[in-house]
Amino acid sequence: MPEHTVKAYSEELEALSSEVARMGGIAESAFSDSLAAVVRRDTRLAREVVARDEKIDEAQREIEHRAIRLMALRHPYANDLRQVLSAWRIGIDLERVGDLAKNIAKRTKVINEFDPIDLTQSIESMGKFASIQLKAVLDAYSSRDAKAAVGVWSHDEDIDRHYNALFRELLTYMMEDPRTIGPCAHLLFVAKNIERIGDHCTNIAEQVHYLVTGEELIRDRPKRGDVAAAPPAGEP
Amino acid sequence: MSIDAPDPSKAPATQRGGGFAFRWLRPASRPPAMLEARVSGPMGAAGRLRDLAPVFEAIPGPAILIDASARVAAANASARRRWGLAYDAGGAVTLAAAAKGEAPSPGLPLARFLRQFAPLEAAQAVLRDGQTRAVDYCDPAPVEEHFRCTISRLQWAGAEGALLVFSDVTAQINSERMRVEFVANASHELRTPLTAFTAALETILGPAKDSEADRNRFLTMMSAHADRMKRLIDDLLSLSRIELDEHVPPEGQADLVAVLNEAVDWAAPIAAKRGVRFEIKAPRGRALVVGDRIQIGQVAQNLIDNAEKYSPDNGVVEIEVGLAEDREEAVRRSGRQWPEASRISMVTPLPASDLGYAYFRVVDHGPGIKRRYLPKLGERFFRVAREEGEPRRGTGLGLAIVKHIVNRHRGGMVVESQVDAGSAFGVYLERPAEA
Ligand SMILES: Nc1ncnc2c1ncn2[C@@H]1O[C@H](COP(=O)(O)OP(=O)(O)O)[C@@H](O)[C@H]1O
Ligand SMILES: [Mg+2]
Repeated sequence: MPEHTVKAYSEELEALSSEVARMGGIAESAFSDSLAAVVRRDTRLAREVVARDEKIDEAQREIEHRAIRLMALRHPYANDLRQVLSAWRIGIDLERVGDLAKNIAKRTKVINEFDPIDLTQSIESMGKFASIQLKAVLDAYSSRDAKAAVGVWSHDEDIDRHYNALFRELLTYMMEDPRTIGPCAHLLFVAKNIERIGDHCTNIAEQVHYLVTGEELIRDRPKRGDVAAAPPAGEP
Repeated sequence: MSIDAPDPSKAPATQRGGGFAFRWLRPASRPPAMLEARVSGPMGAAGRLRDLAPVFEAIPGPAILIDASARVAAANASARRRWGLAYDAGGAVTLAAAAKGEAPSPGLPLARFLRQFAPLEAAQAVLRDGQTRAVDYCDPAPVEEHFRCTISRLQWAGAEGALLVFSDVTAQINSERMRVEFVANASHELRTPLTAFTAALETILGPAKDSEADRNRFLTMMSAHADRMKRLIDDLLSLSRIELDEHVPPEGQADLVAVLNEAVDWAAPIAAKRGVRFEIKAPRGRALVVGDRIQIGQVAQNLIDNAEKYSPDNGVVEIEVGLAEDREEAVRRSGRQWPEASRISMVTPLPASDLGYAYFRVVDHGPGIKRRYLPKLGERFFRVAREEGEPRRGTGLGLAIVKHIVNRHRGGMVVESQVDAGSAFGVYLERPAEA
């Protein structure tokens, strides 16, 4: 293949990678801003996060578009094919992360209409675990670090534990004072959304591992914690 | 790569750089690659560039030079440290950690490592219209940091790009926030002991005026309340100080074996009054970690204090110090030893694949901590006794202090506990790179 074609091809792959990284950055700040909005009761910030979601969707479309073009025109195989496929799939997970962040932000507005409930530290520390996971997995993607990806993948249970504890705490609150049921229910879904962002991080970790090593991580990671006590996955 | 350009690292530098530019390059004073590419002309231009390279290197915060397509042309020392960048043999900026075998690119895209969307957007805008911009943004994990990034257009020898200069404004933002929090916490928490203190005082001045025995009783109470207020203020100040520079990684080294032995020596006399003993199991020699010796001592002291406080009379507190190859092993050995226990990570560092850790673990055989309370450990003022309406002892700030110190050290902390059997608190910290 002539030199300039090779160059254009590798540039396209590189551009795809950095589009994923850029999208990761937007999702990352959407998530941390949505947490800050809940914790600090900042309705204005929440509105900003909601408005910004469009950028994440745009980035995902862009990634999809680039991936399709690469596949159609360049017929990538082996490592190159993995780069294209993993970028595509990570884009899908990141888009979900963005949606979940938007959802957290939307609830802030409603939660702020009630009196404050003293659970912000618990939400904050659960959110902190999830944002560390998100940062770590995006770093692992940037540096193509399979071992770091495995680290993220095997640490999801921390978030689950925090979620289960927070869930119980919220139940106690609601039972003790039925007036708090409204805001507590919203906080419960905030917690659920954080937990699901954690799940998407492990999906992304699987993709990074696959990208670097060509091998799948074993799917059925032991998920501990009381599944029975958790609320349904659906939204109200 | 299935399709690969020639490996740049195999080509002699002079060939790739074209011209003489590389001959005077040293890793420590490499000039911006974008500029360098233009210097194939007169010796004078090269001379001027050589003079400017150290200036760029010496900018105190991270500074990055990008070309017109937002690819990194140069990164100064501080930027390279922050984002793990390096110059390759050909003088191009790369991610030091990136696996080999990736497509050689015409330059590392800014978005690949910066990610934060505010400065990225602003950089694009500056490249478009040339207007200088400054944006503030926050890096939330693992330790919250705030930056102001100033971006200005740069034109040099026919090339066009932009210069990004970052300054860390975390300290200002933290100090403002700490002030607000300190005032709120102090006024809230001091109110209860102060009310009790005043009530006792009024009793002495009034009803108890004529009884020596009553007066003494209330004076003793007042002294206890005053003690409590002093402890609260000490702990709050200590916590504020730690939070203030939580974003500044610690310097120096500490030997966990020595630190733990010292902490035990401090605690032993008081513990002996109740017959509580300490047993230390440590490796021969030292267990060095990167960190602030005094703060790590504070961590050890707080955990040992708690273990002693919650031990039954004549109980034994076991302390273990050891080394671990990587994060997984550190987590396992410091916090996964009791199969039946509930456990939680209080602090988790980012996974780093090439770091060794040293850890210590403080084990007591006290009442344990109910599972539902584990995630609340480390929240300021959280105390199980307070939750369950028992009389108070302690400030509930000890573990908050511990948590912030471990976080500042980018270390990890794990708790396992079993009701009626005991609790174990484990801390692991990075070992220094082999000298
Ligand atoms: N070793 C332990 N065993 C049982 N409970 C503990 C132990 N360490 C800490 N705790 C619980 O965690 C709470 C917070 O601890 P800490 O922050 O050190 O505050 P303090 O010691 O002032 O109460 C304690 O009040 C106690 O309920
Ligand atoms: Mg204590």
